[in-house]
Amino acid sequence: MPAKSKPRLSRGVLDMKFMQRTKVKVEKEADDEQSRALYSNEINQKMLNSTSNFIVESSYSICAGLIDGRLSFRGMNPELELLMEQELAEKQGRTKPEQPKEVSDQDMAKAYYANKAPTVAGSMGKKFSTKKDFKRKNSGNESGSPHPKKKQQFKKPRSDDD
Amino acid sequence: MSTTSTIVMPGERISAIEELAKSKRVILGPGLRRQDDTVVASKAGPLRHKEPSTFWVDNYQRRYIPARGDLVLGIVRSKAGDNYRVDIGAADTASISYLAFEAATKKNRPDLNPGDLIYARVLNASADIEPELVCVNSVGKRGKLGVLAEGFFFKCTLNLGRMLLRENCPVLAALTRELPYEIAVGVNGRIWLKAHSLRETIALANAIVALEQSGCAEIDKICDNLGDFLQA
Amino acid sequence: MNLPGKMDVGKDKLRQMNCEFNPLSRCDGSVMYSQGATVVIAAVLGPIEVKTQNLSIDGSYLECNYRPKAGLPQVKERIREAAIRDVLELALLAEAHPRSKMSVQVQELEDRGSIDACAVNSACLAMLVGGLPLKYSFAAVHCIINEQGEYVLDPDQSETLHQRASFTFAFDSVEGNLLLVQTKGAFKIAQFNDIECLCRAASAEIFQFYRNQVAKYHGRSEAIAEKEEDASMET
Repeated sequence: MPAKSKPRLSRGVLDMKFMQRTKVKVEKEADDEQSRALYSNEINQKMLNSTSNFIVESSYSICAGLIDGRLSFRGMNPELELLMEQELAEKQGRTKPEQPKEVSDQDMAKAYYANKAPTVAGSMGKKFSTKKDFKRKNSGNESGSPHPKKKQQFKKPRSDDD
Repeated sequence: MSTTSTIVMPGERISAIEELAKSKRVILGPGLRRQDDTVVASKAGPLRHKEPSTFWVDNYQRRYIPARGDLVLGIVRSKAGDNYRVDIGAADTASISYLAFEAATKKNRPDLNPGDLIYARVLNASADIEPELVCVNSVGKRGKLGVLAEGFFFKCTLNLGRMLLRENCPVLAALTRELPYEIAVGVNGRIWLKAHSLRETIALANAIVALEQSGCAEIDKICDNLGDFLQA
Repeated sequence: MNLPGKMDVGKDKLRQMNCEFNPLSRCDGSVMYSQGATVVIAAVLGPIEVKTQNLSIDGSYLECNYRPKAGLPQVKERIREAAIRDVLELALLAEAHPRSKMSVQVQELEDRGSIDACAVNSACLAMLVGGLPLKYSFAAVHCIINEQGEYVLDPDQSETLHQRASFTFAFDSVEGNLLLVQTKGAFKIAQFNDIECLCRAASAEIFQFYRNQVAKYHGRSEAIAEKEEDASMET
């Protein structure tokens, strides 16, 4: 066997837990080797090297480009018609160029900041505020009690839980 | 699709394809087989060609030969362990795993019983093993596949089924001008139909069966008949 | 003696052939075929499920049944059945459908001579229309040497009464190889060769008939395709 020249991992090593992946790989290699040896006298050089220009496709649907045979018309099955519409749209989308944008990127950014900016600005602003600012803010609205005073504690499971 | 009307017979060499194969890849469909570098027909019928380089023989056939990727109608025959046995009109019954349905788990099995009709995709088909079906697409969604409830089921030739499914086939569009309906056509020559009433469903089924004899050249006439029948 | 069945056709010509595809609705392909006054119906089923005892993993199992006009098949019919089976087995592309069965049924409707050839030809047509994969199509021709020592191709029954020898040959469509030889009676080897040539020439006519019939049968769907093309152009 030509494989003998290659160094091999011992079974003891392969049985180790972290070697499981390698073990599978090694086993597969050995299997391939065996099957190659089994058919080696059946496979000639021509079979190995010849490149064929023929592709065999046994399905009529693929050869003739047949459509899916599940169809619904005029609202008989709305769920199905929705699917058909989506498929049609996808097909047309593939052939048509990208649709022109109704809203430009700049308009989008403007509108986004107009709506969302207060929250975004707030959270980002916090990052740049100093400790002093923070304290002042806290003392300003003490009544709101921003710090929940109770610390999380381990709770004993109730005995009647089970 | 260009239709060439050359009739080929079994054993006939098709040198046009051999010539083409010298310069580019050629797809050989059903009815054609390769012997080393020659292409030989194994069935009798018109040779079809689709651009750029697909060839097949569009022979007359009633018996379905399973092929990967086909959409078929099958009847559930029995439950066998983790699989259902499904009759799709081929030599072997097909099998479908109960996990091959949307949202199915080991605990939550689909509710399928013998006699149910399903619309499924052929996942695996080889002459040596039984065909395997699925009722979900690659992302695990049902899509158009699944159980077909109610309606009316009948068989036809594979040629009629394929004709209805051609992209530019006028038949189904013409029929819906008469009445709304829902249909499932399997390439295994089986059709399921559902309209608002039983009467309409049967009328549609008759119209489609009539196409078998006349071809869709007479679709207008058949639609007229259908309209008359429904009004009567 | 005047021979009414063959009066209109020369001795070196085949009788008129006719066929109708799919007269039966429940099989995968059927044909009613006639040669002169001899008529048979052939039907095929396949590939279908096979019994375990006949199952073969490297090819399909071929079943062939021949039914006489009346009564049960006897030894004569069994021989005919075996002849059809032998030819079919050579032509069938068995490896295309392993673990399955191909079933061929031939029903004799009227035997007015050349029934062997007629049965083989009808089986071939049924295979063609049933869409079973074949390596080649095949055709059988019957020929006799009559009392006067003349060769009569595809004789009517009335002509075979005092025949000296009778021959049935089957040929394949690709290389014209012999698939079946059946001989009866006394003849010289030169006569055998002559008749083989005669039958080979006649088989070409049968192959042309097959092609025409298949083309005619598909002509219907050709018309449909054209109509569709028109429809798609308009839209």
